[in-house]
Amino acid sequence: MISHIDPLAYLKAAALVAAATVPAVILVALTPLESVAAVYILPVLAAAVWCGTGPAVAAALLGAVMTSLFYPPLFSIEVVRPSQIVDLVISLVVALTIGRLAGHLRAEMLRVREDERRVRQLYGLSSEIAGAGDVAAIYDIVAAHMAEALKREVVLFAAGDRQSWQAIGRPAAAPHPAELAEAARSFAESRSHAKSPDVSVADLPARGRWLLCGLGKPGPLQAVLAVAMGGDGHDPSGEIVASARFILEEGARSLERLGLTRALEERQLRQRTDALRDILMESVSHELRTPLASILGSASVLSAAPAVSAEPRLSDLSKAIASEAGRLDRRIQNLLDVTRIRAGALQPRFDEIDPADIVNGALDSAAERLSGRKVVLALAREHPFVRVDPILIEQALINILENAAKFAPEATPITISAGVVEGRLELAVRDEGAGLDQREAEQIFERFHRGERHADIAGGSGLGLSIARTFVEANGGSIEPLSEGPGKGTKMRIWLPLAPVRRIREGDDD
Amino acid sequence: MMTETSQKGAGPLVLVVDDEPQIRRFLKTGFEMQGFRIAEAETAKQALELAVMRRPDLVMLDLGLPDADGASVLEALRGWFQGAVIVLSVRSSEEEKVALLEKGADDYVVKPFGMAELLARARVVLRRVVQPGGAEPMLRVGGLSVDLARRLVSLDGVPVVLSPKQFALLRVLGAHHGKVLTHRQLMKELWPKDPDEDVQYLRILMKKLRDRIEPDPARPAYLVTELAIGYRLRTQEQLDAVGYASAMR
Repeated sequence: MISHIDPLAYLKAAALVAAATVPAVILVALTPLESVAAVYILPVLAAAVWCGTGPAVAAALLGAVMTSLFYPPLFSIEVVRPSQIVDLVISLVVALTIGRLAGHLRAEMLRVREDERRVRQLYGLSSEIAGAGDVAAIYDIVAAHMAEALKREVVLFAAGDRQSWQAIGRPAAAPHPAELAEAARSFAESRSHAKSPDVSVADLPARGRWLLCGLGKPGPLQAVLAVAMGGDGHDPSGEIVASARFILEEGARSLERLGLTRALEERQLRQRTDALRDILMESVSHELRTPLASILGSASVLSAAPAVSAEPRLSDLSKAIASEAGRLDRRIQNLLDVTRIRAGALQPRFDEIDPADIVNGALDSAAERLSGRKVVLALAREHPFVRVDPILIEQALINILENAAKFAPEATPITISAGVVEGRLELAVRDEGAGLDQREAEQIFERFHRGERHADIAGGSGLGLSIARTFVEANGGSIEPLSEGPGKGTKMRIWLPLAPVRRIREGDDD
Repeated sequence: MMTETSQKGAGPLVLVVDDEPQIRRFLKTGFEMQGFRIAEAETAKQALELAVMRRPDLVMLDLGLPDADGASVLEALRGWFQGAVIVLSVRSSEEEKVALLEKGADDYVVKPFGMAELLARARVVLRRVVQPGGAEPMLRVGGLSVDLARRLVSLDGVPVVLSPKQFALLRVLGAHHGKVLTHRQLMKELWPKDPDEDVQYLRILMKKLRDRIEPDPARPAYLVTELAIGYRLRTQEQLDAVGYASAMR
């Protein structure tokens, strides 16, 4: 435990021995004392308690020399009588033993005191952290405690935007070398990959050594503390690292607790929001759609009435009422879908299904809007099943078909093809319409985007394609527009995951 | 409020159950124009009372009634009621539709709907009521004709050979000609020993059947898929209603 020699402590020990000489001289003058060895035990004890084991041993040796001076012949270290030699050796052994024991006692006492200090500090840390309401406050408190406990400069770094790490925190981000931020970043990265240590040392040329400590909940690091170790070239002592770890653990526990509390609160809030949204959606759906159902139904009855159907102009009007009501209903459906998507309430019901069934379902649903158009179906005769929510993919396909019908001249065909490419099903809808330029190809899936070139001819809210994309992506698929440029048509490619190949029992058929 | 028309005549009696007066109004006019008789109810309680008193041939049942769930009305009816039931439902509730079909609804129509579509469905389900025992011995739709008794199938006059399982599937759908049958209902008929077997068997069987009897198996005209629900063998009327011309190719 004795790592270095403190000359001052030895001087103190010598002074204590010298001081003991005063009562020794007085004692010898007053009484014919056989030996003053006992007097010199006192400075050994005092040196052990105040200065430690080493000075106590020195005091014992010095005391023995002094004792010998008091044997006759007085004031000479010469020892003549054998009994005096025995006396001297025994008292030296006693002094040495007492010195060592008292020295150990002192070390033990110091350790207890240090532990008590650390416990007090930790107690202060945890009670302070308990009052912290957010992550930043916890970072600050941990950094301040670290600086206090280690009595060193501490710089706190946190992950900022764009992967850069910035110094933050209460000690006003003391000036620090720019390399330090970089070291903190690479330390955080190395720790998020493997089970590397939570503490490491960065040696910055000309900027000294820094102890880097990761702070955060399990998982990727959220913050790094850099403790200045100075430029003496020593590795930080085990004690410093241990107390740093202690503080870090306390901080991490608090961050975890804070995360749990927050997750709980968010879940409750989410449940309330979900319930509210469901009620709202149901009532919007009911309140808007019921009148529409009446309008559409009534118009369809009118269209069939002999008085109306005999008069083409009237029959056209009543058909228009029905078809506009249908269009309004689809817009409402789009809005409800967007609400569902934004609320994160989209939960696909996966099924393994023949993609041709989805294509045919979409064609049937969109039949009215595609009427008068040539639709070419180029499906392979044999294709594997896909694993998707058929209703969502059907709706995505309807939106894409409607979009194609909206932007391509009526005389041009719309082609639907399907095939397996690289382990996925490619479903493509090709039109020979206005096509897309580069910018439009990037933008068409953005909500509410509608091509500027077509702003006046095309109706609709522009939601269709962004809904289509969200639905496809929710099914683990993707969607990609291809166009050779304006006027050259558009090909929408939908990629869908295939169903796992399964062995189907033989003998049921054929 | 209970209203019912007292028109003379032998047209089938339709009980319209919906709490929205405007919906009832157009349904009443639309059905009456086609020679049906109408009874109206706006609550579940009225619906059950009228069903007992009037014994309608067809019940048009809205699911969102003020006093009870439409599904509970269906359950109450199905204990004794011999007539047909068509459910008026909203979109995005495929599971509910399946549950209702399996509880005994004959078909469903999604709001908003046109009268022509509804009448076509109504005629299909009424045929079952009018001819108890189900299917006609001879089915014709488009170029497809099926002689159920003699197990003969032909497409455009050319005989088609089907495996026993393929014919069984066609026969079940033919026995409920024009009606949608859920996957489970079909599985029960075709694999009575293990109806909980993988529905993929049914899908593959359907694919093979379509290959034999559809003019264009990639775009089936007769055996149509109701996504997430089941299959339907279209009637001639249904085929005409979707305007199934060769324009699609």
